[in-house]
Order: sequence, then C-alpha cells, then structure tokens
Amino acid sequence: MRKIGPHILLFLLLATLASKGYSIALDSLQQLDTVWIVADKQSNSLLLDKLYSVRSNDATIGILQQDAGKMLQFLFPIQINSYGLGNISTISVRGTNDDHNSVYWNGLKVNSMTLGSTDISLIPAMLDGNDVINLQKNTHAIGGALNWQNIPDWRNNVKFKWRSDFNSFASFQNSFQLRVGNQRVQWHSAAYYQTAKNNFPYVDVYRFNNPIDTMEHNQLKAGGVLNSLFFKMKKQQTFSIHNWYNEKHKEVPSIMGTNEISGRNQKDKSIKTVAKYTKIFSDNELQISVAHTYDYLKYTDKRLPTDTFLFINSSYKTHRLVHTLSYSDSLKHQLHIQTGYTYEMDLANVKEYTKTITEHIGEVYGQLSWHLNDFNAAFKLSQPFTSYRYIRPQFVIDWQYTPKQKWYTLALHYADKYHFPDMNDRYWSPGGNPDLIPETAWSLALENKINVLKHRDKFLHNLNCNVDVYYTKIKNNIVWSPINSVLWSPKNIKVTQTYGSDLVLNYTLSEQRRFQFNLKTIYSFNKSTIVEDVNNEELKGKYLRYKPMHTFKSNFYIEQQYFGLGLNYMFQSLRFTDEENFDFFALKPYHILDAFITFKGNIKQQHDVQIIFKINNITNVAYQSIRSYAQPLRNYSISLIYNFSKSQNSVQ
Amino acid sequence: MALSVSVLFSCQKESTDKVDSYTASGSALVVNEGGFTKNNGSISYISRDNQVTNNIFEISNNGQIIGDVLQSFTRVGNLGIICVNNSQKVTVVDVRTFKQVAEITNGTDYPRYAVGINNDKAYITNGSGSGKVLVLNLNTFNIDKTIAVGNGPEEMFVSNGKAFVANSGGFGTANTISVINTSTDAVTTTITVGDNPTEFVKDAQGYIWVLCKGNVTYAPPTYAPERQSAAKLVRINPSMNTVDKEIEIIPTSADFSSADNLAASGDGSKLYVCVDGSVYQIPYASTTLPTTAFISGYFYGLEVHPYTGDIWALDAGNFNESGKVIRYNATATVIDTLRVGIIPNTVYFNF
Repeated sequence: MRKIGPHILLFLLLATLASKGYSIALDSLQQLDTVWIVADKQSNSLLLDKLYSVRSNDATIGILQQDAGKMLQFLFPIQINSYGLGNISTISVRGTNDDHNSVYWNGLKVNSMTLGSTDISLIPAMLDGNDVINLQKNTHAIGGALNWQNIPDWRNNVKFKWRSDFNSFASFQNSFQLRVGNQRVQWHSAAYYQTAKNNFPYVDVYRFNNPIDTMEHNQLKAGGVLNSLFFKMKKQQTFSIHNWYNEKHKEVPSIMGTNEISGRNQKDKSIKTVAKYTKIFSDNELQISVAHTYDYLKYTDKRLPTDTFLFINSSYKTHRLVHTLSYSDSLKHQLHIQTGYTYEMDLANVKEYTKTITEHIGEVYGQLSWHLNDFNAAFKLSQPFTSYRYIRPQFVIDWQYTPKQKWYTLALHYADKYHFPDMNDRYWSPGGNPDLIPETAWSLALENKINVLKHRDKFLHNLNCNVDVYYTKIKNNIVWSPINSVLWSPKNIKVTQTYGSDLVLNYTLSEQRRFQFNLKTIYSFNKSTIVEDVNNEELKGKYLRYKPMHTFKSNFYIEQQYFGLGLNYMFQSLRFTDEENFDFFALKPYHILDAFITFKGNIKQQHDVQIIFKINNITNVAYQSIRSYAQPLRNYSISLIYNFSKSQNSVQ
Repeated sequence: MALSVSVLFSCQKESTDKVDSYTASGSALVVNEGGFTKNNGSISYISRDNQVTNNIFEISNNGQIIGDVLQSFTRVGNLGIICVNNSQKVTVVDVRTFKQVAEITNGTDYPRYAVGINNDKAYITNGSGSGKVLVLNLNTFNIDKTIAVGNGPEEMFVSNGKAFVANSGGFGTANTISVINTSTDAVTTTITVGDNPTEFVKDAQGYIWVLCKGNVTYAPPTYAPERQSAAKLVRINPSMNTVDKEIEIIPTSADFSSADNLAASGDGSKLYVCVDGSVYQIPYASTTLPTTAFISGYFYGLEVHPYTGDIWALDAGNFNESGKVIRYNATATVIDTLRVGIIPNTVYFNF
C-alpha cells in the first residue's frame, strides 16, 4: 500500500502537464466562464480562495438533504468522521485534523470555541434558491473551510417548500422553507423538526461471533429556525440580517461490544445572528458586519443507567461577538486592494475551567490582487492579535492562469498559517496548558480546473473536472498525554505532513426540464504521516489516525421528466485507529451503495411535487467511521417534497 | 540512554504467528487494558526466550477483538477468565489455545477481577457502586449465585477456605474487606482496614497485606486531586480475620501522590509498591516506607517473578501507544525492555 502513493501522485502531476495538450481537443467546444465569485468579505476570502462551489439546485443536495454529513461527503473531496447515526460528525479536509478546518454560515465561523471542531450533525442542511456551499482554502484554517451562504434572488417572488422525511428506525423530519420578496426586500425563512429513535440493527464486531444487536439509548429530538432578511437600499447599499436558532437533545449510546444501556445524554443549543451592511461605490466597496453566537452544551453521564448520581455533569456556555470591516478598491494597472480588520470577543463559561474566560482577538489584513490578460495573482497578509502576542503574519500567495475562453484554469497556491490552541487545550482544569504555542503550517497546492459547456441537439453538456495536488506540513501539533497518574496535559510534540491529490469529475447532460443525467465522481488520494514525535521516535513515518489513503465517491442520477433513478457509492480504504498502525485495530476498507428513485409531478408550472424513495447501504455492509461506534445496516427512507414557486420581473 | 534503550529493544523478537500453547513453563501473559472506548484491549504472550506475541486472543479467534478496557486475566486449570470491564462481559478461554469457550454477560455490568476457588467455580468481583461477587460455574459458565459485598469490590485473595474481597468504594468510598466462606459462598465477616483497599499479597509469614490507597477527591473549581486520607499497607491475620499492623506510605497531609500496584517477592520477604509511579521495596518486617525509591519512574503496573525475583515494571507510555515491560533484576538493574500492547496493567506468570 505504501508504494502506490508516489506513483499516483506522479500520474496526477503528469496529468496536470498533459492537460495543456488536452485543451486542443476541446477547442471546438463552447466554453463557459468558470469563475463564479461569491462575495464573502466577512470570512476574508480571497478571490482565488474557492476550491469547489455547489449551488442549491445540485441534484445531490436535493436527494441527500436530510443528512448534512452525507450530503457534504458526496459534494466535496472531504472526509466526514461520524460517531453513528444522529451523533457527532466532524470534517477533515486534505488529511488535516477536525479542528484544523472551519465551517462558516453566512460568513460567521460556527466552530466550537472550546473544542475547535464543528459538529456537522448540528447543521440543518436546508438550502434553496441561490444558496451555495463553498469549499475554500481559507486564510485561517490549516485544512480548509466550508462556507454556507444564503443569497437573495432579487425578484418579485414567492417560494414555498415543504419536505417530510420518513426514515427507518422511527426517524421523522419535517421542514419548510419560505422565500418571499421583491426587488427591495427579500425574506427567507426555514424551520425543521426531527425525532428519531435510531434503534437500528448493527453487526457487533466486538462481540463473539459478531451477533446482530439493536442500538439502544440513541433517541434524538432536534429542531431549528433560520431567518434571513435582505434589504436593497438606494445608492448601491444592501443590508442583511440572519438568525439561526437550533436545539438538539440526544441520547448518547454505548460503544459496540458493551451489553449495558448507556446513561449518557447531550443537549446542544445555539443562537447565531449576523448583520451585514454593504455599500458599493464606483470603484470600491465597503462592508461592515456584526455577529453574535451563543452556544450551550450539556453532557451528562450516569456511567450505568442504574446509578443514581451523575458521573459526569458538564456544561459549556460560550458567547462570541464579532465585528468586521472591509474595504476594497480598484486601482490603476488592474490592481485591486482589499483591507480590513476583525475584532472578536470570546467568552466561555465552562464548568471545567477555573474561571470565566474572556479572550479578545483582533486582526488586520491586507490583500493585493492583480489581473493581467490571462493571469491573476493575489497576495494576502494578515496578523491576528491575541493574548499570545504571537507576531507572525499569516500570508497566502495565489497565482492563476485562465485563458480567455475560460474553460481551463491552472492555479498555484502557497500559504503559511497557524492555529491557536483551542480553549480546552489552554484552560481545562486540571491539565490545561497555557504555555502551548500555536500549531504552524505551510501548504502548497497545484490546482487544475476544466469546465466545458456545450449545446448540441437540444442537449446541454456540462463537464467540470478538477485535478488538485497538495502538500501540507504542520509543526507543533498539540497532543494530550499523561503527566502523572491522574493528570493529562496538552503539549506541542508532533510534526505531521499530509500530501495527496483530489480528482473531481462532474458531468451533467440535460434537456430543459425533460431530461437530466448527472455523474459526480470524487477520488482522493491522501497520505498523512507523522514526521516527528518528540516522545516516540518510532512513530516517524506512521500514518495518522483515521486518514484513509484512498477514497472514492460517486453519485449518479438520471432523470426523465417525471421519473428519476440514482446511485451513491463510496469506498474508503483501510484506516488506522492508532498511531503505531496496528493491523488488528485498523478499520477495514468498506464499500457503501445507496440507490434511490424519484417521481415528480407538476401542476400549472407553479406547484411541484416530488417523492424520493431511497435504500441506504443496499449490500448491508457492517462498517465503522470511528472505531467502536456502530453504523446502521440496510435502511430506507421516503421523502415527500412540495414546492410552490411564483417569480417575475427579473432584475438581475 | 537512548542508545541503550534501542539496544535493549533490538533484542526483542516479535511474532504474529500462532503459538502452540500459551501455558509453557517460564512464559508470561501480559494484560493490556487498551484505551477507554477504543476497543483495543489485548493480551501479549512472552515466551521463555523473550519472543513477544501480541494480540493472542485475536490471533486465536479469527481476528475477533477481545473488547474495551481489559481489566484482568486469571487462570483456573486450563481455563482463562478475562474481565473486560467496559465491554461489561467476562470472556472465558482455553488457556492452551486462547480460543474462546464462553462469554458471560449476565450480571457483569462492571467486572473487575476473578479468582479460582476450585476447578468447578470461580469468583468475580463486580460493581462500581454496590458490589457483588459473582459465582461462576466453570462447567456451565452460568452465574450460579451472587454474593453481596461492599461497594466497588476489586481484587480477591483466597486462603484456607476463605476469600478476602477488597471493597474499594468504587466511585464512592469504602474501607472494608469482606470475608467469604468459599464452601457456603456466604460472607462470614467484614474487616475494617484503610480507605480504598484494592490489592493483596501474602508475605513470608503467611500474613496478607492489603494496599489501601486512601481517599482522593477532585473538588471544584480546579478539580485538582486532593488527598483526604492516608495511603497505607495493612496486614491482616487470615486466621483471626484481624488487622495487626499498618505501614503508612502516604500521609493525609502530603501533597497529592498516588499509591498503586502492590507486589511481593516469591518468598514473601519483600513487598513492592508504587508511590507516585516509582517502585519502593519494603522488607516484610519493616514498619515504614523507605525514603528513596528502589526504581524511579512512572509505572502503571508491577509484578515480581516468583522464581527469578525479577521485577516486571509496566510502562503505559502516553496511554495511546504500545506499552513496555521493563524488566529489572533484584538489584534494580534493567535487564531488557519488551514492547507489548496498549496500557499494560498486570502480568500472569506460567509455571
């Protein structure tokens, strides 16, 4: 296995070089502008920052919308690590740790302030209209960032969508989305409520003879409301305000191999608000935003259900207040400048900290980008100011070549970033280490994008292909280890590297509303290894935990006017669950295949009804995403979707 | 130091092959707990010529994982009783082949330690709160009876028809030893010792010593450990069921430090205990703890070979990676170091 990697990388590099030759063959095709920029100054994104972008009308979103983790898994070359149906899920981009990646909602970072990672299971996957999800390289996250963006459609319109999902294991979800507005005001509202027993059967590979057990103590209740209000004012001014409330009550089940029913519960609650103001002048733009997040988490463990006292009774309350200002201006000689600052106040009231922690974080940044003929280049410098007083500017250099026909893009990206220790690393009592230094990283990536669009015989062909090669080295990785018989403490002890390649192919063939064929295929090669561990030299060269070397995901969908049929397929190669790479404790490779059929109806062009019947894990594969945590065998879902849409007076 | 360690490791022979028998005289079995919720507990076999075979249960059972938090291993005749604490089960194997012969899940919600009473039955301590001793029928592998004892029962010691059970308190506090008549399976008396009794050894005169770790709390807001009562070694006269001697090893007034891992030399003339991880050697007739450690370090487990007198100190490292068995001779000089599984806690010697 270890010898395959360099060959694949070499192949992909050759493919990169060969793609220039490939362009000749495609010259006869009509090409489309591939650069679709989503303005998002609040996350300080670069013009060239975006890796992948998916609109809400993507077929995968429609089919998989009841499961955010699964949906993201098939949309992007990222890895989702899940603790089981309805439980915590985190993301990993290009082989990095979960806290090396960020998730933004309308520009507001929603990562846990205490843990650093983001629980994807708390995010309602409700997108519609012009909404978009981007995977970005991001200036601050060592791995990358997902950005969920609600975008208004400035037309007189009324859209209403109701969706009901009935899944195996007594799992039900109802959601609605309402979009109403005109050329001046737009209002988006969405709400959902989910209940699930999640008492699924699973193969208990940790019990003798691997019996089929039924998951217990795994109930879930969750609900949320999201609202966005957009105003378009005179003199090129826009104002928007977004609010998101959600709550999740979850029983946390036992691990596999255990006979007793768990006594653990987790309750999450969150309220997030973002307000943005934008003013566009003739050659420049000003954007100001204010945001607030309140997160609450309570985790209790009775250890044994029969116990009367709580073995663990932990609660987290955090507030984050963010203010940003950014200004961009177009200068002479095709130069464009963007500058701004961010001020953030983090406040954490955590039972396991000795006191309420208040952190003030400031950042100033400047970005210069230059466009000349077929070339774009950008340089961004930013300096955070925190209690660390760590003066070391982060910088990103991007270079991009896009020929005039814009069917092909070649990009080179270099970044130097760092990640401050999370609050638990510094303040957890006992054991938190205030002397930790930030984890630093540099990364280099070469990216190729091909986008071809062509009309032929009423059919529209759209081919997107990305071939990316990357390398990232991370120093001073933070690892918790024991310092005496009862105390553990984090230290900067490790250097790791990750390199690999992502190949993403998306092909769509469509004919108006009568026919659609979509094939999305993602192959990821990744080799994430330990370069140095000051405590154990023998770990050098060992693979990092839970990083598969090969991942293959494919999503196929064919739709005639009223009827659709599709498949989702995923393969993950072997994953080690310990850093010494013991075979006995590795998770075996697995294949998962889902199939679905859809039926559509339409009344007077305004009313759409869709039914989706889905079979997940058709081949009944027993697999694990995280060691010891069960995943369901074959299961079913039926989704009923009603859409009402009335639009006029396009003013785009 | 690094060079010497690498030289010592280079002597280790590792194998993943199946061993003909895991009961060869002079060999040993190392119990590796594994990480909590990681389901990677294991047993390592160390042959007489120092060849280490890790994961012997998995090798012998077609890759079947033994479970989560492997607390203890006990041999009774040709059977091995394995308490898998967080998997809430007791697994019984044929010790010659290590093939599983039974799995007990009835009433084993918190299994800790087993002890053989005879070829027909074994006792298993169980419970983090109110404790019980499960009477395991070694012919049917059913739990025939349960015996109520104190809270959080840990290790047992069998002597002259009596089983002494250390009631540690589990997640609470306790300070007693339950004495069970092994013929009637009934508690006959309870002996009060120090706080948090856990482990037993027998000395040269036939007395039983019990390690009482003392109570430690983790009080808010800092949750730093604070010692509430002294850690001590308590001597029990097994005939009279009375306490007749104590050695204080950590006073209540001391800054927090831990007392763990009681062991004795084969002839019972020396006792060994870990204080804050380091090994202290105590002559059995002594009344105080020596002022200096016999072997400095931090050891998660400790055993003394009954025939050679070698000290087997178990190093759990960072609790995520494979641990080490560091063997010292009777003068505390390192003999060799062997890599075993994750978080080694005890050793069983085959004779």
